[in-house]
Amino acid sequence: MPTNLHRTLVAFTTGVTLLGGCLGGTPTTTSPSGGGKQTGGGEVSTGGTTTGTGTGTGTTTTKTPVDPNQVNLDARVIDYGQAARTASLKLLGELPTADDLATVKDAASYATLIDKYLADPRLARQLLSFFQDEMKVGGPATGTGTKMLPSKDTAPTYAAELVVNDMDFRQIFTGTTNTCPTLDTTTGTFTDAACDPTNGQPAVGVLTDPGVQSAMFSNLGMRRVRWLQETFQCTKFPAEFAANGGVKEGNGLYASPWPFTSVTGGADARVNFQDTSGVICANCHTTMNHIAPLFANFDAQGIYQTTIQVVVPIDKNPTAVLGDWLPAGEALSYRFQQPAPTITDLGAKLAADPATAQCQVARLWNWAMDKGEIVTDAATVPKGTIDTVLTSYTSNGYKLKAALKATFTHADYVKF
Amino acid sequence: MTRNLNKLLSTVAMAGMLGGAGCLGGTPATTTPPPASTVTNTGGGSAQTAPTDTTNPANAQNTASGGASNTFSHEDDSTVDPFQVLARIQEEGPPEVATRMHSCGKMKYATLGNLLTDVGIDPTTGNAMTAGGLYKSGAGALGKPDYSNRLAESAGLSTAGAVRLYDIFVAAVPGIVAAMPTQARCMVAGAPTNMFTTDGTACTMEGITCVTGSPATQQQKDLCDSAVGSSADMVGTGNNALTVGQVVAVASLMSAAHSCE
Repeated sequence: MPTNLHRTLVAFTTGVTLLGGCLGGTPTTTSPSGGGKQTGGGEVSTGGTTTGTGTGTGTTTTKTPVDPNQVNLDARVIDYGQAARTASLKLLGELPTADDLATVKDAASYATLIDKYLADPRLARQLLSFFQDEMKVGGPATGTGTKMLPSKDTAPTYAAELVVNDMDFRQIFTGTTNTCPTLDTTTGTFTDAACDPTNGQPAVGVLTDPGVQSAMFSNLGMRRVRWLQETFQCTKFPAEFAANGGVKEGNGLYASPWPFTSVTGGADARVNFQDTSGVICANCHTTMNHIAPLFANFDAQGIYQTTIQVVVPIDKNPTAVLGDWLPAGEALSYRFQQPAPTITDLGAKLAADPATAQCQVARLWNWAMDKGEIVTDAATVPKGTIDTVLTSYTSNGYKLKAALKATFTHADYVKF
Repeated sequence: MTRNLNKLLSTVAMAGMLGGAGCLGGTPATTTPPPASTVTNTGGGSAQTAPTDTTNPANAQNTASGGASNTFSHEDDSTVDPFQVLARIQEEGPPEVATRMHSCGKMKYATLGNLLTDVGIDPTTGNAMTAGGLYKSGAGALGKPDYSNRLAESAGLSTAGAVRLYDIFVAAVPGIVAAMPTQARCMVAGAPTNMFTTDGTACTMEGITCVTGSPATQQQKDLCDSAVGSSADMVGTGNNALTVGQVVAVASLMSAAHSCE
């Protein structure tokens, strides 16, 4: 038996190692339909071609530089079978059928299969999962009465509904009705629903979603602003930079385009956003503080109230007042010189910002190509990589289903 | 039989660690879920999770950026380790290249459950040693999202997750092989598919396609056949009776195929 076990161990290890080409580093290049070699990067030892004159009077050697990255790209081969497998797992959450695989012979038949997947009811649950991960919220309502916390699924469900129903995806920032739908994940059916009572605050896509507002509740509403920035702009704060590169303030460089005194500060402030002794707080907070008060009236349960609900993180946690964020006279704004006095205005600015569209397409791309989280893993996507997908999105009425089709049929997607 | 199965599971777990985990180092910074604070803390406490009580004087020395009473340091969560990024670029190439090539992303926890269903295994039932039981108890290791802490599903497979994945497949193989002929997903033009040839000494191309979800290759079949021939010791009884070699062959195929989504 020990001999058998040893043989088994060797066989298994060999199997895993040899079959699991994709287990190597990332990214990978595999031969058609499984196995394959890792060509994810690194150097190529054979760095050029050598030519001789052959005249007998001496030789001249010419080295042609070889770009190892181009070598890796060129080493990929089209494999529609592998592409169908990973597309099925992502778009349907299940392995493809043998009959489906048998239909995939070329680009046209593969594209037909992707169309079939995009029309499948299982797409809805997959998109719900995708947007839950993108927004980092999810789960049913919990608790009762004053301890009740709302469903965290409504915002990602609304986003999924916009995609499945092939609607203008910018409505996640501008939608005014039925922004809290539910989804039957078995049938893929959405049921329209309005969000909880909002005390006069109109619905504005996912920006007023109770689940999001509850999940991101924090001192001075800063977590809500950061969620907005990182989820839909794909970058951390600071979000704005002065054209002149910045000026020295205290111990550092102040690089925001806003006037330094456009945020609350000074020795008497409850929070001194103009402090420069450690870091330059205003680099981020000039942007953040002009947005955060818009979300200040949402309480811990995500319900909009008629007064400010967030507190200041100092002794006794007093309720915040507008002066805690901004000096008198400062206008709420999306960015410098882009006023946004209401959440509706903020949503319109976000919807119109080209960076928002690029961010959404980049997130889609990273999902399809199995990359990490675009912000927390710094898995940035150069615009050149996703140009055609971005064009599909923006030139088709900002319908994300078109971007999905463009992604899953992209020349890079079908190569391994 | 139980001892045999235990030995088999242990063997496969160890082999999985040797054969699979060693490769995991190549996966970029996505293999380990970031701590909660790296994702969500914006410098203030939260009524729901209260990561740091900034009003507690005991914490004051850690919370002040400038003045102790009215400035606040945020947790150092604003940057990705530049050396990690550098290592990734050195391995994968610059983003202009790396983003054009597939990475090895972990299969989502829910998708793994669907996959088990696809091959005839119920992921919602079973005791601790069954595929369903291992799946249910392995949610943490397999990177299930934790939205209550604002954590998305982890993008990469951890070592513990890789081992658990192998364990699940090993435990699932007898059920998969028994159910395969009746699985509509694996039928080719209505004809049932079997994992092994009638005499049980070799794998079938259709069976490999069924468990991996992509067209089988001759290389896969050769390795599968080799594993089948590696041990004739029997595990299981009745319809679930298989050789150790057969179990290892199918589990190896599935582990290799499904370590990446």
